[in-house]
Amino acid sequence: MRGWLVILGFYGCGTALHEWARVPLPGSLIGMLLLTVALGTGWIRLELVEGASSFLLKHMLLFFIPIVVGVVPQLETVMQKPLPIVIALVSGPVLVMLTAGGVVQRLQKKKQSESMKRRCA
Amino acid sequence: MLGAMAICLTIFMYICARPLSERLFRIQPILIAAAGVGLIWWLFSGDWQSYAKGGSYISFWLGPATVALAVPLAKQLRQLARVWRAVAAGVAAGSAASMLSAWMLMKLLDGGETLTRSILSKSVTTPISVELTAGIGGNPSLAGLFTALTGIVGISIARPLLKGAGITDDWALGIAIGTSSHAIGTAGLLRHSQEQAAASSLAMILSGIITSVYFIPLQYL
Repeated sequence: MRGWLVILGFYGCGTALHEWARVPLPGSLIGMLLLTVALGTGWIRLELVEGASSFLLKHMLLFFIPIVVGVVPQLETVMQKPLPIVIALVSGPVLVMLTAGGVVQRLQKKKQSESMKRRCA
Repeated sequence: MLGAMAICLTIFMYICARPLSERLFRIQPILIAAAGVGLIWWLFSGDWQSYAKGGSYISFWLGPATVALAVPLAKQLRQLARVWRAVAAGVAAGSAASMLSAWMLMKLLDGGETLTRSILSKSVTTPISVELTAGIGGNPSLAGLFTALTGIVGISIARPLLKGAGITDDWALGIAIGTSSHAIGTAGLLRHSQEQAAASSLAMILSGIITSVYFIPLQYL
């Protein structure tokens, strides 16, 4: 039970910081960053929030069904311009994967060959 | 009354979606659930405002679920320390590629203002994507749909694409899939490799953070 209160408390803090202090990040993201810091520094023990956290993450799918269903009344808007949407949705993941994967792999290889050189020298 | 019906129907379809997905060519459960709820509500009520009211009690929990991502992130902090440079660069470049390509395509093909503002966050995990879109005047429901579809496209093409491009490193693979197709991609990886799935969930969280930073200037446009 206390785990739930901690998560809701951090969510409340994040939302408040977004609404009142005008921090230009989503409230939930601010809450996540603050909780990560609290967990990293050991201010809050991992075990305390682990149960509530894994429950929320496991059922994330349920939480966004109403959002996707909310599209139905707007299907007309989407159907007006299907082409750019389809192209963007298919090309996006291709580009992102090649960019992100390529950068990580290249930097990882560079690091490995540098440490190899150091070992040989 | 209708609101309570909306909540019950949504939970019921959520429970049915997983077994149905296994019978229906593994169509993503989220699409089955959303289509099922949409169809049943359309047949029996058609009052979308009442559905939205009831549904908001469920979608509220996306916020706390985002906060809950702090737990896997905190668990991986130590591992991240060794590779953070490559990971941060990869996620930052990938997130930028996602937003820039979507924006240019929508401009070139005349996609319209609302659609453009709703599609920019498509690679980010859904709860963050929805909130980011609301913040820049897009349509959160469209963003939710685009995000789910992006994840599905991503995980369907990931293996052959990355193999063809010669990306085989565990970290590189996981980061590529997490940055492009968030939780749906991560769930798809879990069946193959724990290491890749861990890298993917980390990339999903980091791309949420980095994209939120990219969105800061957009709020003022």
